[in-house]
Amino acid sequence: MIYMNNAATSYPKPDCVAEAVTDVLNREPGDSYRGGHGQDTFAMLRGELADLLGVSQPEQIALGPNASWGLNTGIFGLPLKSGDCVVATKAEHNSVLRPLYRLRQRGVRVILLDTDETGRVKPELWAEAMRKYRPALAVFTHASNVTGAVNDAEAFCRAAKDAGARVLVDASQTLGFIPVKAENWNADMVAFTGHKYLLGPQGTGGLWVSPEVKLEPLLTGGTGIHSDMDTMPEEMPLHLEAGTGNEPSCAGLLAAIRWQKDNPLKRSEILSRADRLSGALERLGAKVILPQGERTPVISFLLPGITPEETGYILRESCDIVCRTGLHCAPKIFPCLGVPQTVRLSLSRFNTDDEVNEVIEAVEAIIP
Amino acid sequence: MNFEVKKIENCFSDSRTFEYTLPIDGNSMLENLTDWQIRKNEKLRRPVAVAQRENVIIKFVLADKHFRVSFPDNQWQAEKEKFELFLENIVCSG
Repeated sequence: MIYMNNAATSYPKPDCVAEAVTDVLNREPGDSYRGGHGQDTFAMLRGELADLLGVSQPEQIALGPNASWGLNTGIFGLPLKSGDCVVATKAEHNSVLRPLYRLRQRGVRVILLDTDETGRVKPELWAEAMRKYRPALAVFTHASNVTGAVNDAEAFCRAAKDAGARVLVDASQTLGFIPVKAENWNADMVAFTGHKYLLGPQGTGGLWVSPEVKLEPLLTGGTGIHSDMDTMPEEMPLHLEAGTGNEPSCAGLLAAIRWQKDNPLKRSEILSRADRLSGALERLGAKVILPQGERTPVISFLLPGITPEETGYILRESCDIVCRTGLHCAPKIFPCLGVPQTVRLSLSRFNTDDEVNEVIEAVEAIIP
Repeated sequence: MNFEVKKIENCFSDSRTFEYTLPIDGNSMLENLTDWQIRKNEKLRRPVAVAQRENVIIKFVLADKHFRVSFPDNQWQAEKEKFELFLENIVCSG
């Protein structure tokens, strides 16, 4: 099987990930923040994540089940009220769009900015929108999960902050592949997932929050300490983390991040492989969306005379190639791209040149 | 009933696609699709076929017993019932 659906979730994982998950399940449970003993998986993970996110205070990283949790925590945690404005982009995933639609029902004005035909938002368009709308909150995806186009996060954050907005970055598609520098960018919040380029298990993710930002927790509940209080403790990360944490998966993510430190990713090799694949698809007659400049190894395309759904079906059932077809949970981007939906191949560090050749041969055989 | 059926979800909330598992494979199915428009692709590792009649589309691997069937948006339930009757006849006669 050739797995090229890494923008959805990464596969395979390094062996140490499953070993770390199993190890936690087989030993006495850890009890971070619960006044006990033993190693604190969550604190160690926060330390590693702080390096990756470019932040100096690991305790400002709240861990949760996924990036959607982080994004919801950031969006609903701010005191937005009717009449306030939020600006985001049409490249956003439903994990941003649907929370914003809920805000819209509460009277918040939501503006979604167009991308170009490759899924990137022009910095000048973003800056102009910041000046025009003066949003209370600006949200953007660091990279499109449909096309791989990376947005200029530093410029976007600067423009948003200059306009007085809080700024939330969705780094689900970049953390572990493209450098994230939350503090250098002057971001207020960065949401992330653990199971894509970080190679951790599903069920991991979270939100980094600048110490200057005060959020209302999305959930309230047990924290293990300060149990005599009626409200969530003020200190981070407990303030945002109600309930028992997912220690097995967090241990898996910790192991994955440490493995990657010992085995650094060769970004240019992966991108060059992706470029070779997209070039070949184009020569075969496919319409390929080709972002220039900084990008992730994601290729969205359409074959002539065959629907994306049928392409995906044949790749999977006839050729053992795993891709994704449809809207990729980012439905608003497609009018900007000028296509109704796409087939998406998303590579990882584990895909080989031989696999790329096999995919090219398969697509050549599919085209009528 | 001599087949199993399950709904296949996709990005679209109006998906009308179902996967049928039959006691016959795709090659045998082809023999029963005489009045369907057939596209066969035998260049692939596991050859596939796509059959279409009006707006009902069947996709299948020739050597496999799983069939992916999409029904048109309008009248999809009636079309599905009609198709399942057709399947019953094939399976019984086979």
